[in-house]
Amino acid sequence: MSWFDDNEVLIQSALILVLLGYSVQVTLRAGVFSLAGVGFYGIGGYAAGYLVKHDWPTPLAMIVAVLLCVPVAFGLALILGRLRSLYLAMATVAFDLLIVTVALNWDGVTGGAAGLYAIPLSLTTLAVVLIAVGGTAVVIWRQRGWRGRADEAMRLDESLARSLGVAVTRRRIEAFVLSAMFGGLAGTIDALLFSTMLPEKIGFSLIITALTMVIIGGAFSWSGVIVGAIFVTWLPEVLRFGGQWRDVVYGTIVVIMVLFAPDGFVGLVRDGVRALRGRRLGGLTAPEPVRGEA
Amino acid sequence: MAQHLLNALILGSIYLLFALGLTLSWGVLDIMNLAHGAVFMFGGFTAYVITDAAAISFPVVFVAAVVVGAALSLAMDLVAYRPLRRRLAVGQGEAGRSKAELGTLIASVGMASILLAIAGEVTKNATVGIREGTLPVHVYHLVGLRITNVQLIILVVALVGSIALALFVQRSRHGRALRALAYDAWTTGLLGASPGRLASVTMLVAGGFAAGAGVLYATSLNFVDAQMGEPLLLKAFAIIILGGVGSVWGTMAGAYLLAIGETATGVYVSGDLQSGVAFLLILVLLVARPQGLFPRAAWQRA
Repeated sequence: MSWFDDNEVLIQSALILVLLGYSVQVTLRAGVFSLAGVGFYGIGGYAAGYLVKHDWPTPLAMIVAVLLCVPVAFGLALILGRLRSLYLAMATVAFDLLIVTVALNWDGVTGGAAGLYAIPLSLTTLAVVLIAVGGTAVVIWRQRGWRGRADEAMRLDESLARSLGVAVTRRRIEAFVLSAMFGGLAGTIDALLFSTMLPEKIGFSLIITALTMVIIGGAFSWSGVIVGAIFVTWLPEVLRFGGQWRDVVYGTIVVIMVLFAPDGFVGLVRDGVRALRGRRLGGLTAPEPVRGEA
Repeated sequence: MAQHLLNALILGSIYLLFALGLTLSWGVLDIMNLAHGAVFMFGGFTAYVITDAAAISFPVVFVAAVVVGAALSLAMDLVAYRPLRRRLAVGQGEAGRSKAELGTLIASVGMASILLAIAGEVTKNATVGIREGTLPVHVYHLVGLRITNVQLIILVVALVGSIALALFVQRSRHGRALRALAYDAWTTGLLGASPGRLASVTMLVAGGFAAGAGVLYATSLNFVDAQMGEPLLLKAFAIIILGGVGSVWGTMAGAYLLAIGETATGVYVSGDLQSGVAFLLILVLLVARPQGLFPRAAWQRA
């Protein structure tokens, strides 16, 4: 039990990051390179913090905060619908940073630069674990069967997907709204679990963390997000013995991972398993995985 | 009023020198280089390290910083970005290209954190300055305007540098090859221009401009800090989107427009909202004109 006590904050952070990671991944899988989840993290966090501070019951505040993200996401999806790849990414980063600017200036609700603090603590780690499990179930549901294949087709070739009868535009918007809800959920948990919500929580570094986690773990599978969240929360702790050189080692590992495991940890494991199976079949090697496939 | 405009032009010149390299590497090589801010910082940092060790005249310091920045930028490409492009993008179609773009983005995050950690370690995470007297400050008064010699250098370097770069890209044989590379790397190789060498030129120029901007910025404010590049990175994205990816003239217009917009917001509206101008600009422009304000360059890909 003492290991759990020592690492409880890390576990909580990892769980929040898992939800934020799903927010990036749900869109990325569908070929929508959106980082708007971080902005919704801010919206969710501030909304939940504000409501709970005004004596709303926790579950209701969380639900309202997450639902608040839906119309915003819907509007944003309509506005940004035409954009693709890096341009969409830039626009969503701009959205995130606008949320930071709003948070810094809307003193009455967000507390300005000082942020919201002393939000009554009202979530347990167990509750967060259950929420994360629920979130994982939703992601798995979207990743399996025809839904997963439709997303994959949209990512690899949009016009092909369209010709196969995939409602590309609708699924894109769906993915975007779902992603916003995951981002908002992660934010509400952050605010209620750590009892503060600050502008610097939702800055550029959170965007970078979310993206690094998804790519390092494996962009196209829910298990990749979990591995990635563990990677970005635990590795800096493990490397602490290195003192100031921690970030050098961390950066080097990130570069090496991207270079040698472009499909992330999950891709690495999958390729390893395939190679082993191939050997067992008496020298027959597994077929080369198609590049760009999950 | 005129003084505010002058200040905006000086700020815009720093933006311009910084954004040029970023737009070039993005436009030509599909590298969204998040370590560009770290290269900028390393320009100022190099100046700090050199002048901390000995009293050296400013031109030498400037050249040294530019060389360090160019070398760093090339090294990043050789170590990480180029192998990624080779492995993922070449001959793999649209999906392969976007995968390489994403990988490059993350690799550049790793690179940035390495550079920031090194600078943070050497400066002990404190704000430092460049040795006093490296470039003695003179203040000139021209028709009621106040300008220092450092600011004058910034203006001249930015204008000369960007016009030279624009002419290089538009008029020279190398420039034509660069535009071809941006359009289609594979065919460019078949036509006998070496994509590898062109990529090296691009990264050297990008790094040199960023580090030059860094040392000028650090000198004018007498301020070197490991984190000094990050805010510029975000502004540069706004500028690039404003001007159109890969367009040198567009970047010039974008840099000065953003600086003027920010200064005007700071003066007439509120200093707190100044940082939001860039982000609002990105959103509005991407929606209204995703191809940039000046989509004339034929080697653009929106």
